[in-house]
Amino acid sequence: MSNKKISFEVSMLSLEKVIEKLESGSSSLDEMLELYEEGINLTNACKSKLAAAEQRISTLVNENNKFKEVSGI
Amino acid sequence: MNTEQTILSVSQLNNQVKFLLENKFSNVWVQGEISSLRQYSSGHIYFTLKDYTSEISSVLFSHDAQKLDFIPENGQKVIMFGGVSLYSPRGQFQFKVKSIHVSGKGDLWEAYGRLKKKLESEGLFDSSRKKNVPLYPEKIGVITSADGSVVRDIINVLNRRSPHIHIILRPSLVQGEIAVESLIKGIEDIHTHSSGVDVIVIGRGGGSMEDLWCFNDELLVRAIANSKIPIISAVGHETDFTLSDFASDLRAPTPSVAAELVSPVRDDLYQYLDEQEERLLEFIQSHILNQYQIIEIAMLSYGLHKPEIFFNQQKEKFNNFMNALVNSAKSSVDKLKKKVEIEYGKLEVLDPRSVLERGYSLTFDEDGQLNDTNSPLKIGDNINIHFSDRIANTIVNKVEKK
Repeated sequence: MSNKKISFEVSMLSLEKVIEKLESGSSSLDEMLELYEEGINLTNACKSKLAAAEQRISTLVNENNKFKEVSGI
Repeated sequence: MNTEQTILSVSQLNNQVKFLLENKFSNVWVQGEISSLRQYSSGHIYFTLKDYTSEISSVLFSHDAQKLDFIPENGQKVIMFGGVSLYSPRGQFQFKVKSIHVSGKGDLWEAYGRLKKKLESEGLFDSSRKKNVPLYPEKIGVITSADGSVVRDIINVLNRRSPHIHIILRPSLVQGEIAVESLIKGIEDIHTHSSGVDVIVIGRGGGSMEDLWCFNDELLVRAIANSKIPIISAVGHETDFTLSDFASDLRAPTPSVAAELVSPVRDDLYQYLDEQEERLLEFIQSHILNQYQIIEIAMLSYGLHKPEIFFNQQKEKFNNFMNALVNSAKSSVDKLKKKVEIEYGKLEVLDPRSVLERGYSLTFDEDGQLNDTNSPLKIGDNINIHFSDRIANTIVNKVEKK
């Protein structure tokens, strides 16, 4: 499952929902195992989004009406 | 000395002059620069109004001072309306000010007031219009001047708190006539030519009201209000609000504060995620331990003592397994699932109720004691046979060893 399309914010909020559902205690064991798997996938996805070694800083430049993001300031 | 001339006392002279002045100069407009300003606890403000060659003592009484929409300062070039008088006791020629307008800016302030009313009535500043600023942005657009400390401050804050956030700078002028166009184009460019920007910070460092004035421009304010991406205005002015501040989704007093508002601390996020992982595991653990407890109660109610030792061993093994998983750095989901399924399967086997459901029955004597392998059983004994759905009461007919 590609995590690039799912934003960090969506992942964090989905994780909250999974925890809420598990907390409500209304699931069967099978459902709980599914939720567990989903939860772990979400925490892993979130962690990988956080793991940037260096901060990305770029500048939006306009060269002859062609726009691009150039690294640095 | 001409004795036909009236001889006045000093008081009389002063009062007559005061009368004359107040008649002729009661409503005048005067232009000059403020200096030597003193304000007293009474609220009255005393200062000198001067031009290149002359000056006049002036006073603004507190009830008029309160009506000002700015704070008068030394050096300000102003236009004042009021009346000239003489303060008799001292013979002091003074100007009693009724109202002050900052020279040239008087119009600006009026225009500001009118524009603010107009935009407000259009609902542009309504809180219902404001978009939520994302809690966990991945990419932040910054519209400000490329030189100066503002951009560096923002980067420093973001670097310290959220090094995982991508910063995209769209440089812009932030002062002067062309700044408005530059800022509006900046917002457009980020929308059109950059992807994935979750929030925009637009602003500049501190300055005088004239320096910041471009942020009161109607077109810019509308562009901010209509932005699809949430905008935080950060026009460096602690106390005053520009119209851009009213239109934005969130206002920060300075660009550094704006950066803090959009940057969750990464270490805190890591910690939160670790804690959530533990909780996920603990949910499963406590669910199964609950099942153990339920079965334990069932076993006790059936008087099953011997299987209990085996049961407790299983429970302890499961507990240890779960603790090891919680403590280990990564829990493999498949491994957990398999183990849990096995444990659960064993639990089902141990559950006396499922034993009964598989067709087995349990036999109890009259005293409620379980008849198991070594129990004495004689002909004529009164026994109760527990099936899954009923209890049969019967008398032993014959006992045969197998």
